[in-house]
Amino acid sequence: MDLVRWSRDVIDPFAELDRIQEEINKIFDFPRLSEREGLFDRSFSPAIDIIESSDNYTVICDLPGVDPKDLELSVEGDVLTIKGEKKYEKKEKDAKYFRNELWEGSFQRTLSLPVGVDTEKVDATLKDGVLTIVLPKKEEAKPKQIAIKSN
Amino acid sequence: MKGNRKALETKRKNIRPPYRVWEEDGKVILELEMPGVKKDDLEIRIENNELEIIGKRPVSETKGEYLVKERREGDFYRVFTLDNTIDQEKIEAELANGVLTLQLALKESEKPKLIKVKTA
Repeated sequence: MDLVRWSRDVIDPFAELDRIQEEINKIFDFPRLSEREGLFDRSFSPAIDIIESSDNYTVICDLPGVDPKDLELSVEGDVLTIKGEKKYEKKEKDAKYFRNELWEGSFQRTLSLPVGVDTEKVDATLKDGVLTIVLPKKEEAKPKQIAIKSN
Repeated sequence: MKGNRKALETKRKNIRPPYRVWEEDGKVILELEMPGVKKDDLEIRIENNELEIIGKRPVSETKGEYLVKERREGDFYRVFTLDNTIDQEKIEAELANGVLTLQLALKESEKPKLIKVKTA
C-alpha cells in the first residue's frame, strides 16, 4: 500500500464515482458510431460526410464493393434516402474463410435535407467505391451580397 | 495526454482497411475495402515475407463547412506476413469499386523440413 498524504479533498466518494463513470464512458467512446442514428441504420451503416458550401450541399458516402445498379437514391419531400445492397460474389461452398471483417447485406440511410435545396438538380456519382451527391441550393437560399449605395 | 492527441491529429492517420481472406482452388484470395483509392495511388510491396499494402486517399477537395463528419481521414495501410506456402512470384492484384482483390498462388506443397534431434 502506498503512503499518500492525507488531504481533505481526497475523501469525496461522489467525485470519485463521477471520475470512474467518465473513465468507463471513455472506453465505450467508439468513434465509428454516430450520435445521430436513423431508424434503419445498422452499426455498420456506411459512413457519411455532409459539407455545406455557399452554392451547395455535398454528401459523401463510402460504399466499397457496391455496384451502381444495386444502389437506389431518392428524394421525397425533404428526405434523401440512400438505399442499397452490398453483395460479394457467392463463393464456392468449400471455400475456407480464414478471416472475414467485411459485412454484406442491405443498408439504408435517410437524411433530412435543409430548406432551400433544389431537389430537381441533384447530381450523384459513384466512383472508386465513394458516392458523392451534390445538392445545389436554390437561388433564394444562397448568400447574397448587398451593395451599399453612397451619395 | 490531450497535448499528445493534438499533435497526432495534424499528421495523416493510417486506416487499417477491413479485409477477408479465404482459400479457393489452390489460391489464397484477399479482399480489402479501400474506398476512394485510385489505381495509381495504390502500392503493393513484398519484402522479407511481408506483404505491405498502401492506399493513398486524395485529400477531400470539397470546400465548405462540415455538418456531419463520419468518414475517417487518412491513408489505408495494412501489412500481412506471408508464409512459405505462398508463391511470391505469382500474385495478382485487381482494384474495382474501391475493393482490392489479391490472388496469392500456393506453392506446390512444400515438404516440411525435418530436424534431427541429436542425442547426447
